[in-house]
This record gives sequence, structure tokens and C-alpha cells, in this order.
Amino acid sequence: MKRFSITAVLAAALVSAGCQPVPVDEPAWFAGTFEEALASAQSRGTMLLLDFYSPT
Amino acid sequence: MVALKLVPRKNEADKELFQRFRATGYPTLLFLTPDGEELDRFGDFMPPDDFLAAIDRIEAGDTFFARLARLNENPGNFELLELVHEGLMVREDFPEVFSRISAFQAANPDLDPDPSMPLLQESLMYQHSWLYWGAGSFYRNHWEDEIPEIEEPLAAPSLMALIEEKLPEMPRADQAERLRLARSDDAEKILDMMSDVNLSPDVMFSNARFAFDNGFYDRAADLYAKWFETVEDPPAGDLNQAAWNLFLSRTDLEQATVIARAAYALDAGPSVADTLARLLYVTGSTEEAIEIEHKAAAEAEGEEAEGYAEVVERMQMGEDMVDRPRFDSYPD
Repeated sequence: MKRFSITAVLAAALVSAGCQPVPVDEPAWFAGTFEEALASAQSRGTMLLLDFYSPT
Repeated sequence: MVALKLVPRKNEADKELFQRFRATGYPTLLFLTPDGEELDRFGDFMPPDDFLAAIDRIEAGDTFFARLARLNENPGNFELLELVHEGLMVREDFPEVFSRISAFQAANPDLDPDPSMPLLQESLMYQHSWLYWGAGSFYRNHWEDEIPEIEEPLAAPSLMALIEEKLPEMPRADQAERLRLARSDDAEKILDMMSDVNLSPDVMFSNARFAFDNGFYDRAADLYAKWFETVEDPPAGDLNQAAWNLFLSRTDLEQATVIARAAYALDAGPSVADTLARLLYVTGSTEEAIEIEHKAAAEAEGEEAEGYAEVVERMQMGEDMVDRPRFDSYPD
């Protein structure tokens, strides 16, 4: 069954949701812990998206 | 939006977050407020446009919890029930699912047909699969872990009766046999909730799969045949799954081959080709089967390609196809 790449979907969604476009070799994911990501979301007053995934 | 990727199977802190947020599987996408309060969650892959629309909806305040609050105000609203039901299923919150459906039915006692029945059946199928998957794990683990209390186990009265009878203390061979029987009994009750006629193609498809998963192979074949007759523009993946299940159970192979050819016409990728090739092989079209399986092996990569190459060899040697449905060996 065809599946969409969640990474590609999220990347498109993040850009659409107002995230800064990033170079292709720099993923749009937050680099840091949950606490740091939450602090970043709080300081920017923006939503936090957690993606729990399991690498195949 | 700040986005964070978490890998609970590789990282203890991520595992703790997975448990804290009561995630139920992979993927789980969780949208939180800047203060860390949950707004909404998704438990499946979705096409890009749907995902973007979901983000817009959440940002506009139409979240799962907002919908839940609206349903509290208006428990008889089916549109809201459907939306909330989806969110509750992602959370595997079965007691809440059953309670909301019951409240809907109480608010609409005279509806015929009752639109909540397919939702109830879907929820029971999910809970049934979940409980018997769990029971199989406990059995394989020799009941080392304590059996947890199950809230509202509506989908599995026979399993609950077995646990009451102290299933873990029965002889091992009896345990397996009794579990399989209980699983079938409970599944049949759920399938019988609604007649197999006049179902929508989507419901027919999910019922066919549930019938197949629980050993009702003839019933699954009938449902797949009816589904194939009535469905409009089915995706190759659904066609392939139907054909594959019919192949595994060796039921209605002629119909299965027609369905597999329809899938192959839409998508000649390796997994679809493999299904068609195996069906052709077991129905005696060996030459065409080997040709198509060869293509599958050539187009696939890595272990998948090796697997298909082995199937080609088995076909060339005239060996039997050995794959069988998982139910046949449940709970082992």
C-alpha cells in the first residue's frame, strides 16, 4: 500500500504553518529535549508538535 | 510551531513521554498548546492536504477537546459523535466510546437505521483485536505478568469468562484451544450485529478483514466479493489486501485472481505483483506466475527482493506456497 512520507508531510505542514524555510540539509525539527522544545514554544507562544515514531 | 521528533524505542526519556501522554502506537502526532496541554492527536499517516487542513482546524480552535465539549452539550448530534469517536479511537478509550454511543442512542431512540451502529461495530472490532492480541501476548509469555483490569470489555465476553475460569492455570494445550474458540465466538457476535447485506463498501471491507482475521474465511470471501462488486475506484492497496487475504485462506481463488489483476492494473509494484503471481501459481498458471514474480524480485530491494527471489525458486521447483493466515496459529 502506498504511504506518504510523514517527514515530507510534516515539512510541508511546518512551512505552511509559518515556520522559517530551511535548507534541505537542515531538518525543520527542533534539536533539543522536550523541555527545551516546550520552553521554545512558550517563549514564541506557538504550538508544540510531538511526533512519536518508530524507525523501521 | 515547534516540532520535536521522539523515538521511544531508542530513548528512555522519549519512552517516558510516550507513556505520560498515553500514546498508543506509531506514529502518534500530538499537538500541544505552548503550555504543554494537549489539543489534538493523530495516530495514522495521512495525505499532505489532509494534514495541512488538520493543522488549520486545530489552529482555528476546532480541536478534539472542543468537539468533545460540544458533544457534551448535544449528545444526540451524529456529526459530532463521528468526529469525537475518531479521536477516542486514537486514544483507545473504549469505555468513553461506548458511553458516547450509548448517549447518542438514548437521545435518538427511534432512528432506523441507527447511524451509530457501524461506529459501535467498528469500536467493538478494534477492542476485540486489541484484547485478543493482548491475551495472545500474555499466553506466549506464560502469564508472567498480572492480567490487568479491563474496563468495559464489551467486545470479548468469552475472553472475560475464560479469565474468570482461571485460564492461566489450565493445561497449556487447552489454553490455546479455548483462546481460539473464545476469539471466534466473540468475533462472530460482532459480525452478526449487522446483516452482511446493505452495508456500505467501507464497512463491508472492514468486516471482511475482521472475518478473515478471526478465521471466518468463507464469510470474508463473500464480503470481499460483495465489496468488489459495489466499491467505486478502490485503491490498489485495498484490492491487494483483499486478494492477499483470499490467497492466504485459499478461499475463492478465482475471484481473488480477478481482484489481484485489478490491483496490478493500478499498481504493478512488487508487493501487488507478488500477490498476483502467487494466486496465478496456486491456480495453475505457473508460467505467468513465474514471469510476474521475477518482475517483483527485480523491482524490489534488499530483503524484500530476496524473499521474492526465493518464491520464484519455489515456483520453479513446483513447491507448495506455505503461507497461511495468522489466525490458524493463534495464540502461538
